Amino acid sequence: MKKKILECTNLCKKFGKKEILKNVTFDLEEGDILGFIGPNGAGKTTTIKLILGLQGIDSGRVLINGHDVQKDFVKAIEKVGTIVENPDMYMYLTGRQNLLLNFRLYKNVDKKRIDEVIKLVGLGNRIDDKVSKYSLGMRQRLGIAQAILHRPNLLILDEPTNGLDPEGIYELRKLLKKLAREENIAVFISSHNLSELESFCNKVCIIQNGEVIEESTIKKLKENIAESTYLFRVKGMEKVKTLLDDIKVVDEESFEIKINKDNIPKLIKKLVNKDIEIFEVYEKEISLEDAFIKKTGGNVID
Amino acid sequence: MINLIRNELYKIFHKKTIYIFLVIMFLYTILVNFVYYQEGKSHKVYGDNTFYDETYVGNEDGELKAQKKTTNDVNKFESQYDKDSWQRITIYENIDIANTLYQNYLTINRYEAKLGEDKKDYLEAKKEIAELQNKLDSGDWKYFIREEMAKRKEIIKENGSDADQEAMLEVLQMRLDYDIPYGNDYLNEYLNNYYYLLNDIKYYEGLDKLTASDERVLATDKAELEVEAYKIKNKINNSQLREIINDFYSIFSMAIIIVIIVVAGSILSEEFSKGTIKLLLVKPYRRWEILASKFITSIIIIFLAILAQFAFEMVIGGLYFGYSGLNIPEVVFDYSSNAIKMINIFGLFSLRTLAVLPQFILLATIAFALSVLFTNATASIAVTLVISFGSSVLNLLAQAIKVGFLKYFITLNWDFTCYLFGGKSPYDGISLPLSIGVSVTYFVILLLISFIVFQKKNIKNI
Repeated sequence: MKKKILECTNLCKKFGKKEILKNVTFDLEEGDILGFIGPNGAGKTTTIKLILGLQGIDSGRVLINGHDVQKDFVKAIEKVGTIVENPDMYMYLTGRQNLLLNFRLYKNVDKKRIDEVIKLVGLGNRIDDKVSKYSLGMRQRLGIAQAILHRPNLLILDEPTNGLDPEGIYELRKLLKKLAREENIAVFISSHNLSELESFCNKVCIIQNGEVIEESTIKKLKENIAESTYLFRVKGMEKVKTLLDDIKVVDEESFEIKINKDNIPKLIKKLVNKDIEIFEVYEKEISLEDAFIKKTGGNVID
Repeated sequence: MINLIRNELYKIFHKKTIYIFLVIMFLYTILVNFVYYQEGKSHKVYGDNTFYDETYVGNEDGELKAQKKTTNDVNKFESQYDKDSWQRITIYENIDIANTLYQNYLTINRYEAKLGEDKKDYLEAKKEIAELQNKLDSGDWKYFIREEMAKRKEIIKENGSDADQEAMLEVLQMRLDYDIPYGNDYLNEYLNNYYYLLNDIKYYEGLDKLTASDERVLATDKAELEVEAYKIKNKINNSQLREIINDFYSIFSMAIIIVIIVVAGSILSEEFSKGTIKLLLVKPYRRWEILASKFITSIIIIFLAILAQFAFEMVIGGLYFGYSGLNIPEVVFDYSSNAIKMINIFGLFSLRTLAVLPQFILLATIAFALSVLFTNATASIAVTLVISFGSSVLNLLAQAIKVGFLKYFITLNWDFTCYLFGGKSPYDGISLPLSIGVSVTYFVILLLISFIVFQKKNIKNI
């Protein structure tokens, strides 16, 4: 059995009368990359703040590497690296000075590690510039450098792609993949943008209005959605239109239909019997985005 | 914990703010020393006593002409002597030399203008002026002092006792005893101080009933009188540098306080406004450790600010005035033994530092506590500055209206300088144990509030 790195059990949080989190429960095992997904205002950042002890937990429990965050904060947080909200750094210091400050607050970290992480995040030639001169993307990299400086086994990133341009997002994704591989870190990453997580998360947890509505692997999530979309390339669209009601016409020679897998042979047979020539039939891969919208019913904040 | 403090200091000394303040402190020190330098160029006890020369318009009648000539003659007579010489000052300080001189010259001039003066009077006047000239030139200044004393004694005999005359007599006697002729030097300055203090004391002693604050003034005056007397007897020359070191906190505490408040008020709240507090709070330290490291850093800054200001003064003061005379001990009045005491000037400075430290630490604590509550640097700095500079108004109020609960106000209690050498607080009903109690109570309560609030604080979106 894999070791559990992060266990959140029945987390509840209220601000005044408003319930921000309701019984949020999920866990993260060794080697997991968990995408924590939800629309804006769903409680993603609040969940992260509870995990990190930045806000008090009303009820429920957070265990990190087996240590309770509320009772044994120092032990629990020791192996966690994080960027919360924005990569806020000391702007009047250089990148290296920022890392030095972080370095001093951990025991058992070799000073050589600073150079190692600088190289890892690729900030080599700008590391001695003041952070105030950095672009957001560079600050993001510096944020990751300080987060992994002490060799954590859990990396918690809150919307790390916010404000990055497509190239920046690509770079970040590459960097995180590299880290997960080279440093063997479990990653907890929150986002409201699914497409950027799809390619490298192995688990997703969908949160809406403070409640976890789905927690599974990406594969399972897609499988769970029973009806898939199939694309047909045919000759004789006019006939097809009269035969089938709920199709989506793509162009003059093809249409899409949502249908259970078991019913595909029947449908083909039906079309062939009506002298409709079929050139191609394939299952359109469902994207996480579709799954998400299907699950959450769009982006509605209560 | 030590690493947390190291980081805090590292951050402070990599910010521009601290260096801007250091530059301001440095410039202020230069200004202060420049002012003292200008002031101290001469010990001006006695002003310039010069008649303006009268100019003739040409059509004066005999009487007016004689008067104008007399003025010019007196002016010419005194101008023989240097402005700071005892002769020149004696002419004007002595109770009737200037007057007699004028009368004598007037007699001469009226006689010469044939305005009906007697020849005998004319000769007498000439003789008297020659005698005065002789006496002044002989260098026997003590003669004039004795003369003056005799005259003042006569006045007292005629008009009865008079505080001012008696004080003057005592000072004149001191001139004879300690060999101090008139002049513009530090000894005359001390004598002048002595005279005013004595006058004050005699005034209070002459009152029928003394209020508590009258008694305090009287006691302080008496102590200062002793100190002045000691400095006169032993001819202790206060260099300007000594004076500045002596008044160090009354001159520089404002600059030091501003630095302390700015650092203590922003050390935590700035992390909130910049969002970097999250970086700190996810490190493997408990919250109280993080807060404590920031508070301890603020206290360290107090010492560094004092040290920096003192170093600036030693360097700039040294350049202006040199370091000679710093080894001469300072004279203070010890209220507990009712005697004067000699103390090394740096020892005295250290004692005064200890005495003002409670005020500095409490100001830092107030700014710090407010910054925990508001998480806003500007608000906590502004409020603490108002408390700090408004305290003098409050203290004046406390002296004016004697309301009992005011004595528990921190601003009346946090400066322990008045208690040095067995002294008393200038405020009614406040004593050393009360001041210690009030200061410690405020300190503990403010810190407790800070730690409790910070422990429970939710870090909201920044």
